[in-house]
Amino acid sequence: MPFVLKVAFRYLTANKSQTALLISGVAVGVFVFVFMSALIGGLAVLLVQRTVGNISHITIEAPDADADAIAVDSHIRQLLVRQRSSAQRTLLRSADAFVPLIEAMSEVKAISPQVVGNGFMLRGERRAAVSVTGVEPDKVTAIADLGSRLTAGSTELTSSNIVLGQKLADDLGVRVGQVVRLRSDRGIERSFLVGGLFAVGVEALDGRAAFVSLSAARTLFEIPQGLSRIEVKLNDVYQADAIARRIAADTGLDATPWTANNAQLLDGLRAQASSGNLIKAFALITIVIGVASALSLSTYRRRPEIGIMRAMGASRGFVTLVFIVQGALIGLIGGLLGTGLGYAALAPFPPPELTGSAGLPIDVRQGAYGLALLLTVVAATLASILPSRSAARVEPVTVISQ
Amino acid sequence: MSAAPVLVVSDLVKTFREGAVETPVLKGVNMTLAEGELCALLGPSGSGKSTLLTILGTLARPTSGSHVMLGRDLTSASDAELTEFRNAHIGFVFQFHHLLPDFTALENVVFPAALRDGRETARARDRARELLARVGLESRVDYRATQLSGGQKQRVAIARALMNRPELVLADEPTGSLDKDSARQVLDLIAEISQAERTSYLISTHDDTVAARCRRQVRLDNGAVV
Ligand SMILES: Nc1ncnc2c1ncn2[C@@H]1O[C@H](COP(=O)(O)OP(=O)(O)OP(=O)(O)O)[C@@H](O)[C@H]1O
Ligand SMILES: [Mg+2]
Repeated sequence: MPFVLKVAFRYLTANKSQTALLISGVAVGVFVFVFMSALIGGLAVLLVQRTVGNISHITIEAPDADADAIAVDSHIRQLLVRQRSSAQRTLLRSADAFVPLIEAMSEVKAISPQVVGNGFMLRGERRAAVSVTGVEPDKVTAIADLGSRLTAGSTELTSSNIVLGQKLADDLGVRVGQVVRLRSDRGIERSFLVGGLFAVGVEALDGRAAFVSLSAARTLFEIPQGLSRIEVKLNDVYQADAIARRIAADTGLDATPWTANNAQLLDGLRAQASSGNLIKAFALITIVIGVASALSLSTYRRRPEIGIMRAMGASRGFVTLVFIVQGALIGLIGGLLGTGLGYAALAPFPPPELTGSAGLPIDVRQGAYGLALLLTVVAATLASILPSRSAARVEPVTVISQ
Repeated sequence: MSAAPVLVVSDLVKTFREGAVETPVLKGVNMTLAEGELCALLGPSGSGKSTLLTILGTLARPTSGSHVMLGRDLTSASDAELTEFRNAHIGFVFQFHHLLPDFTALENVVFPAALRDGRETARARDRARELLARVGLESRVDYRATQLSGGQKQRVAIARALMNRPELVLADEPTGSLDKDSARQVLDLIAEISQAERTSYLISTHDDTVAARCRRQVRLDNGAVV
């Protein structure tokens, strides 16, 4: 063992209770760091999951030539597109050619070709506006996870049944197994058997959405061919921007990532991350201050001994190193303790995706343990520089004037 | 004296300056020390004995004058060079033992060698054990410095001073804090070891019996050797 290490270690073990206290202080700082990382990370997972879990990650639509011509900036363009789409839909005419291509991409988890439109749902005296989505029967749960949010019935779609939001069904006073009438905005009316009800927790779905088979939608909205849009779900939601760009470039279609309509969420996540970073920075600063003050005290108390060592031929570099190694050891031990305790404390939390409304969305995988350990060792080492320099300045002659 | 001088100082001056106040302590000290010489440094309290020893030990620098040891001019040496030099060539015994309290007797003795080698070698440990046996402390090898009596501590300090086989041992009132018996023991030890190894000793003391044991006496008065 290098002699510097032995001396540093001996000084740390000379006053065990004080060293234990200091190391616990460091460990608490590291724990805060790990906890904040896991919480901010978990919160982001939860919010993104809540937001994008049941929506399309990339929505592919036909490029809107007219709107493009009028558009001055992106803000205006969006307004124009929205107004047009309810009145006169632009269809994906040659969509069939693209669907297998997009489906084959490795980043794509699921794809759902759709025909959509608006209409009214009628049940006795009551009526409610609905947004109708026609999907391929095996793709009902491809985008929104209706299967696990089913409150009654099943998600099975035939040409004659319909799956509704629970709230919409409540408004109409209809239950599974009963019949509702649907009138599209093209004036076409059809009866459907209510096959299933779902409650996703999103008003736009629970209160207004109705899923029918693609063929039924084609009849309702008089779209015998082509598609209104293709919804895509990805394995990694954070790749949506890049993949949307690729799809747009490859197909010439409009591909809109979920991020385009959720700028506020992304801003919120960013703000959340930076406030988390601030707290983590303060945790590190606390570690620096704690280690620096403890070592300053130690160098002050040990001035006579430092004088003895210098008289015996210890160089200034040796003395400096003795205290820097102490700082690094404190950081290492406190860091290991803090990350270990952090992991142990966070591991029992369920994954943030499954966090209930009351629980903390902790993501144990995002504890940033390695980073916490590294930064702690660096911080504690930096903190020891000033005290170690004052130790090295002790003149060997002080040994005499004891 | 036929042997080559270990130490030659000439016109050594040390003046302490604190603001405008100047305290001249050494006013031109001239002396030489031969190889293997056992020399007492005498003088009234405040005459500058400790001050001279710190300069000879390279723990402090003189205000002016020349300090040559083993043929090397130490007045012009850098701090790092002096550190290395005293580790290799000078041993210290102080009035108060000055052991490191968190280390055992053995570790204290090994310390100068470990500093030189960068680690505690088995060879150094063997020599340290040998030295501790020579000062009669083989049974206290693994005691912490704080668990030893005053006389025992001083004997450990002597063993430590000899660890790196220095050419010069500087002792500042080595028996000053000991009772008569321990003082005699320590002195016997120094005399015995100085016979065996060709180490030179300069021992400051107020004690006439100590002075009498040394073959040579140097007296310091009013900042100069008289
Ligand atoms: N750092 C200092 N600053 C100012 N004056 C000092 C300093 N160190 C020592 N002196 C002065 O130098 C003089 C000599 O001191 P020194 O300790 O060398 O004497 P000494 O011969 O060892 O005395 P004693 O026999 O009592 O140990 C004293 O008058 C002391 O006040
Ligand atoms: Mg003195």
